[in-house]
Parts: sequence; C-alpha cells; structure tokens
Amino acid sequence: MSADLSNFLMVWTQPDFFALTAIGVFAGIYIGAIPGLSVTMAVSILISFTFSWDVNPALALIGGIFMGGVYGGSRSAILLNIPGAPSAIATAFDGYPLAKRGEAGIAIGISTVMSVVGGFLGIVALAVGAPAISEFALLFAPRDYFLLAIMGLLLVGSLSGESVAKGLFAGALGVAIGMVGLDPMTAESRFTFDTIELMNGIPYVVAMIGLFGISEALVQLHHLETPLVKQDVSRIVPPWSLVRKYLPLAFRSSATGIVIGALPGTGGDIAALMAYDQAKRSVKNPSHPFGHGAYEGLVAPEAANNAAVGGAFIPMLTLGIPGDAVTAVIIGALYIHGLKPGPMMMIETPHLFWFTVGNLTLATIFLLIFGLMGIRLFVKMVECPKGVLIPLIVILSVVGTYSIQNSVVHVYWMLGFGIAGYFLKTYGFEVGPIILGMILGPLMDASYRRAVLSTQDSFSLFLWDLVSNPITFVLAASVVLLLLSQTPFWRPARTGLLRVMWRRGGGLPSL
Amino acid sequence: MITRRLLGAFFAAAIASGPALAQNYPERELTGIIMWGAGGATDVVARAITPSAEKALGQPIVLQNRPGGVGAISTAYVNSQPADGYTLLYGAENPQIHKVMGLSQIDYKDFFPVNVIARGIAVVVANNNTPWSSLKELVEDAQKRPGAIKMGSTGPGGVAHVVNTMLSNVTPFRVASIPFDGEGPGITALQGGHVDYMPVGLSAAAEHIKAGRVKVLAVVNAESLETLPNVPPITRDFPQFAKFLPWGPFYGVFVKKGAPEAAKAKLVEAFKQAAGNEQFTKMMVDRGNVMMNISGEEADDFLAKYQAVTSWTLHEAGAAKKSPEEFQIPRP
Amino acid sequence: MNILPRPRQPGETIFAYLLLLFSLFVFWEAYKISGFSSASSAGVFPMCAAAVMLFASVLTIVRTQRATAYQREPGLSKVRDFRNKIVPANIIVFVALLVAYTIALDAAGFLLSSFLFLFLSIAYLYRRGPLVALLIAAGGLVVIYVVFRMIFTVVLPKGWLFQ
Repeated sequence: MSADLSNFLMVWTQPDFFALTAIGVFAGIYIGAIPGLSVTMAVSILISFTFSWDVNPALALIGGIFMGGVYGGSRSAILLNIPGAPSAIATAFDGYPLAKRGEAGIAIGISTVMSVVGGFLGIVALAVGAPAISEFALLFAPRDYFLLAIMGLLLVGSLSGESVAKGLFAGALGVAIGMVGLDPMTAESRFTFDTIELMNGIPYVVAMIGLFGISEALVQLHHLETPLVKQDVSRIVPPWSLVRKYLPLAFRSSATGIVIGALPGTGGDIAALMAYDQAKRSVKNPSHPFGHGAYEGLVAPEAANNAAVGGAFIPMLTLGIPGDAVTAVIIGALYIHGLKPGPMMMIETPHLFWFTVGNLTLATIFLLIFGLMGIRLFVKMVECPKGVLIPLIVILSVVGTYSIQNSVVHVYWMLGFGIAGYFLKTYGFEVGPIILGMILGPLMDASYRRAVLSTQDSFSLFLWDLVSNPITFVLAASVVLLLLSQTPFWRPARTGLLRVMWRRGGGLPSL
Repeated sequence: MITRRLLGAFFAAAIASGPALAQNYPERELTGIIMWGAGGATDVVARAITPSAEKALGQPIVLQNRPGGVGAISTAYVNSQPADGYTLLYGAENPQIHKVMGLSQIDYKDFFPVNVIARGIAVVVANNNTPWSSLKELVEDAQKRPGAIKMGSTGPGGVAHVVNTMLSNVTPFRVASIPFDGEGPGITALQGGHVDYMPVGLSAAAEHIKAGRVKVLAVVNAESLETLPNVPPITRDFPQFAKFLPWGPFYGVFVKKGAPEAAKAKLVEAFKQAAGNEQFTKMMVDRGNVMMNISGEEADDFLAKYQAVTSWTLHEAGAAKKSPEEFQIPRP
Repeated sequence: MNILPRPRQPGETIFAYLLLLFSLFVFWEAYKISGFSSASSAGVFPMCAAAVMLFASVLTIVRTQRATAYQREPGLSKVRDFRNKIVPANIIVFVALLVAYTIALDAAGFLLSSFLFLFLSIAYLYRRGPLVALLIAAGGLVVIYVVFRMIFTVVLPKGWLFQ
C-alpha cells in the first residue's frame, strides 16, 4: 500500500518528472489544437527522442501530451469550426455557434472545466476498477461492436439539420467514403479506381479539415463585410453554479467515455460523439437548442473524451491491450524502454500502474491551469479581420493535411472536400454526418462481417446471436428503442424549429 | 564552340565530382521512409534503430511514415527518388508478395538490402477453453467439423493466412477465417472467445502466453525456442512442413538499387553497428524476434527465398491474383 | 412529407439531381465490388450506403421541387442569379487561388507557394494595399514555419522545381 502511494506520488515529488508532465500537457494542448498534428504522431516522434531516457520520464511526458492533446482539439473547434483533433468533432457542433455569438471565452472555460472533470473520473475508474473493466471489455464480440456502431450512427438523426433525408444522405455518403480502399478483410479494392493513392482509403481527418475548415472559410467569404463579433472575455471561468448544474451530465458522459475508451478499437472520438447523442436525447431544456450553442453540447463530448483517456489505459495497463490508437503507440514506446506490456506487466513492473495513475492525475491538474490560461489571447485571434484570418486558415489546413501522411494528394482531396462541403452547406446539408459515417462506417462494416463469418455466413444464425447473449441483447434492445423513440415525434418538432430560425435569421444558413 | 567547351567542362566536373561526392557521403541529412503508420511494429523498429545509425553516419535521418497500399505507397515513393543513397526505406515483408497479389510491380529486387534486421517467429495460439492440447488435435477436429472452428486472421497475405494455407497444403482441412485489423485485435478477440485459434507472430502473443491467458499449440519453426522450451515445433506433428521453413515476417532497411557503392558501404556499416546495439537487440529479442543483422548477398538470398515460398503457397491455395511464374519467381 | 422550411436557393434543383446521378454512380461501383455474392462480402455495406444515398436523394428532389421558389430580382436570368447568390466573385477568385496554390505546392514547394497565396489572397480580400498584405503574409508564414518545421519538426513539401 505504501509502495503504491509512493509510486503514485513519484511524479509529484521529483522535480524533473513534475516538469516533464507540465511540458507534456502544454505541448499537448497545442498539438491537439492544430488540425493534422495528432497525439499519435507526437508520441511516435517521442519514441526516437526518448530512446536513451529511462522509462519513467518518457512516460511522464507522454501522459501529459495525451491528456493535453485530447483536450486541445476543442480550442480550434470552438473558435474556427475546425476540430483540431477527431475527439473534438462533437465539440464544434455547439462550440462554434457560441463563438459566433461572442461567447467563445465562456465556451472554452466550460470545455476546460468539464474536460478536467471527465479526466478525473476516467482516472478514478482506472485506479479502482481496472481489472474488472478490462475483463468486461473482452466480452464484447464483433456483433456488439456492430451494434455500438449503429447506435453511434443513429446520431445522424440528431445532426440532420433541416431534413432527415439530407442527414441520411450525408451519413450514407460518409459510410461510402469510409469504404474507399483495400478492404481490410479480403484485400478487394473498393472504390479505388485502380490508383494506389486510394488503396489505403481516405483518412477521415483529411475530410474533416476540408469539410469543416475550407468550406467554412468559403461560407465566411459571403460575410466579409459584416462587422466582427466582439468576443466577451469578461467571464472565462464558469461560475460554480453553472458547473454544478452540469455535473450530473458530465458524470453520465464520463461513464460513456470510460467504457468506450476501455473497449479495444474505439477511442475518444467515438466516445465524444456518443455522449453528445445521449445528451441531445436526454437533456430536456438545454441552454440553447442543440446545434445552436447549447452548453450541454460542450459538456457531454468534452467530459467524455477526456474520461476516455483513463478508459483507454485500463486494458493497456492490465492486459497489454491498447484501448485506442494512442495507447497502441504507447505500448510500442514501452517495449523500446525494455518493458513488456502485457498481462504480466502488473506483476513484473508493479510500480508502473500507480505511476501512471499519479502522472495522469497531475496532468489533469495542469490541464486545468494551462487550459484556463491564455484564453483571452486565443479568443482575440478570431477577432482578427476575416480577410486575413481566412487565408491563414487555409495555410493551416494545408499543413495539417499534408502532415498526416506527407502526401500532396491528400491536400487535393482536402480541397475537393472543402468545395463540395461549401455547396452541401449552401443547400441545407450538414457535414457532421459525413464525418460520423466515415468514422463509424468501417467499424460497422468490419464487425458486421466478422459477426456473420463467425456464424458461417448464415444471416439467420447472426440474428439469433443478437438475442441469445446478455450484452448483445441489451445493446440490440437499446438500438431498437432508440429507433422507435425517435422516428414519429422527431421530424415535426425539428422542422418547426428551423422555420422559426429561418424567419428570425434570414439569409443563408451558414451551418 | 564556347558552349560546347563549357558543356564539356561541366560534364568533366560532374564526372569528377560524382565519386568525390560519394566519398564524403553522407554530406547532408537523410530521409527515412517508414512503410507502416505510427505505432506499428515497423514504425517502432525504425524509430528504435535510427538513433544509433545516425550516430554512426554522423548525419540525422528525418523519419516519415508513408503508409498505404499494404506498403506499395512507400516502395513507389522511394523508388521515385534519386538513387543517391539519401532516401532509406524501412520496410517489412509485405512488398515480397505485392507482385502476385497484383498490388505493385515493385518489390525488394528493386532495392539494395542495407540490413535485414530481424525476423519474427510465428506461433499457433488457442483460447484456453478449447479442448485441443496439440496442433494435431486441432487439425483433426477441423477435419471432423469443416468450417465450424473459427480462426482469427489478419487478412490475405498476413501471417495467419499464410501459415494456415501452408498447413492445409500439408493436410487438407477447412476452418472459418475471421479477419481482424491486426494481430493485437485478433488476440484480444481470442481471449474473449470470439475466435478459437490464431497463428500469430510471437511478438504479439509472447506476454499473453507467459501470463497463461492463451495456450500455445506449436511454434512455426524447425526446432523449439529457448523462450518456449515446452512447446513443440510444428514439424513434430507435421514433418512435411519443414519445406517452408524458416518462414516469418521480417524488418529491414533498404536503399534504391544503383546507389553509389561508397554510400552503400557506409550505410551497411552504420546499420550493422546500430542493429548490434545492446539495448536495441534486447528489445527485439524481448519482442519475440530472431536477430539477423545481415546485408548484401546474404540478405538478397533470404528475401528471394521468402518471396518464392510465400508466393507459391498463396498461388497454390488460389489466394494469389497472378501466378508467380509471370514474374520468374522460382518454385521453392 | 414536409416541404422545405425555407425558400429554394438558386441551383438547388440541379444540385439535387446531380446528387442522384452521383448516388447511381456510387451504387454501380459498389455493385461491381462483389455483386450479391454473400451476406459477408466486401460489397454489402458499400451497396447499402449507396442505396440509402439513392433513396435520400430522391426524397430531396421531391422536397426541393415542392419548396417555394426563391424570389429572383426581376430581369435576372437563372444563371446570373446563381452567380450572384451562390458563387459571387469573391468565391470564384478565392477558389481559383486555392486550386492554383495546391497545384503549385507540389512543384514550387511549401514556402514559395504559400507566400504567394497568402500575399495575393490577403491583398484581394483585405484591401489595405500591397505593402500591408506583403507584411502580413511574410509575418504569418514565418510564424507558421517556425511552429511547424522547427518546433514540431513537421516535414513540409519541398517542391521538385528547385531541388
């Protein structure tokens, strides 16, 4: 017990570990905020960089970057409508409308505080329930991932904008784009048109930067003359009453984040989207309608994606199974430092578990400090004249896209997505469902086919599996309930609301 | 007249400076192209060996991941760069079956092997609740219930697929093959009981075997391993399997063929030293690899044998898109 | 089925038909992957997605046609109207600059092409004279280069023209 405590406190008491965690969080926030720079990439570069170090300082730095990076994506999502990291896609839905109203300061403040709350809850789950949760995560069969993906895709219903048909189109388009490339299961070409550039598919970050960043820049060209929105920066730290009001939602969202994070193969991006969907279904009177600047729309994804950090460490530290893409790279880093990530790691190197818990806790505290610092400066950035800001956004988008895989072809695609996105937005389509389809489509495709292959290609046996296993049954029942509950009542209410918005706002809906 | 003389002088200078340049190799930083994405096995190997190689070369190597097309993007890219020895390819075994899989016309024949660093060894692991205690029992069970046993795989041309194809070439049997996104996700599904067995690289399975979370039925090697002394080699139950061995995934560093001799020599020396680094070797062996650290002709022979065995196995199983004969790949 | 909650925009009908054509093309390509061979073949989801796209684009056409037309200013042709409302000069010039920039990127490298793009587009959009545009472009580029190339060591396109 005392050994555990001293391992927990190691990062707090040794000045160099303490400093490295701080540097990691700080760098992570900016890596996360810049689209195209990802935590996965940063940790991978650190592998060479920290090759000659001991394992503990390297881990301290990596843990800090992970925590900071997952949070950092919200900055650019709120201010520019370009999610800096995939886990911040859902944050843009309500964060950007807030910035348009001049409330970017409080939006970032809420995101920060809720990220910290989520981060802590994830760490608590890691510290208390790691072995049990990871055994539970192993029980998820391919068919369960299939159902989870469907649940996520039902979010299309809430992101459809002015008509469900348009939302469906965008979602299905995303799924189709997600299928591009060599099929990972049979190596058959799908929509590749015999070009090797398309064999590996189109990374969804490329589409994300184009659809959110470039198309928004084009839409803004219509409003060059409109006076800039003055951002209110008098209030950045949200008042305690506001925080307390959203704590229950933050707890629920964090629970989603922890489970999705702990499941191997799903990470913060899916966790944030699912939490957003849950919030949208369960919160009756949001501060503004969802999609038009609801604080609840920031609370849910931001709490969930940082809770997923702790969640992702759960199977990694107990079983050596990565919970998401970043922990997969961290496993590689551990090997290089002479550790053997796996089920034996808790026994062979017992200090690592409590060291990581301590490190993540410290990182979350730094997140609160650095997250609330410098907001004013950041917010002023969007007050820079549009004629200057728009070209700079383009350059950032190009650098971000190119750096994903050092490919100029990706830059062309990004531009194509941007122009297509402009027309889609102009004619009342939402771009959110496209990204959602691109993220969840491949997961749904692969897990459905694994599930059917497990039943020797028999569709009826597959259907029987859906009701004959407890986890699967619960998931299948939830999907059915969600479908039933949303179809009949949803459409009239939504259309009515949009009509009101149209009359009030006039002109093109820019989102 | 003047132009001609100038041109002549220019060419003379170019010829004279060519070897001189190569003598001073490397004069500027190098570029290292990694065949797979960040965090993949190839990425980890590349990033671990590079610091010592940089020290030996005296110049930095800027690493870039260029994944895609099962590795075809990276081979095409490095092949399109000048053959000056300044662009390195950190690759895995994949390009050796690109021709028969119809993915690309480029394989390691178009490159000079600076170093084939190490090769992995495959093992056959099974879920703890399965009744089999040897690979033989598994195969006999599969013959009794064709298609009912579920094998985890990593897609066509992956370790699981090739080993299983080799085995069914020795004794025909049929199982349901369920592809996962990689060996890690496959082993995860194996522990959850969603698949029954999986041939997999030892590096991905070693720790799970040690912890007793999966059981290992056989080592795909001609003899038992020091690290798994009680596990029989696959040749104990299936002696005919020996014709395929040694077989396994590998990692190497390559430059485009036609690079200056001096550059090649310098690179070979630098990477020989780097692959011999104690910390690096320990990491590789810990991950279940066998260190090779070979280059030049020796490496070329190894690459050719791998290509012949794998291409023909896939072809005979009907999994290849084109016949190895088309590319003059000799029958092993 | 409700009509649109807003007037129809210029070009919206044509766009809806284009989406239908595109969906048909996607469906055909999806069918070519593996046809209707089995419940787990590679083509199942691409075909499902394309079918949903087809269905949704037909619905969209119906709804678009039922919507009240956007009130054109009298005497303006449809094309003119589309130009004014959807693709005004700003958009055309900026997209042209964007396309030129990405094409130049591969040849001229990151620094030169980005500098030209920044300079021209700021000069065009911000309209405070060439000197101001020059200063902002140079300053912005230096910051971006330092942050990405130096701090995060991101590799940027070098360009084959000046190798």
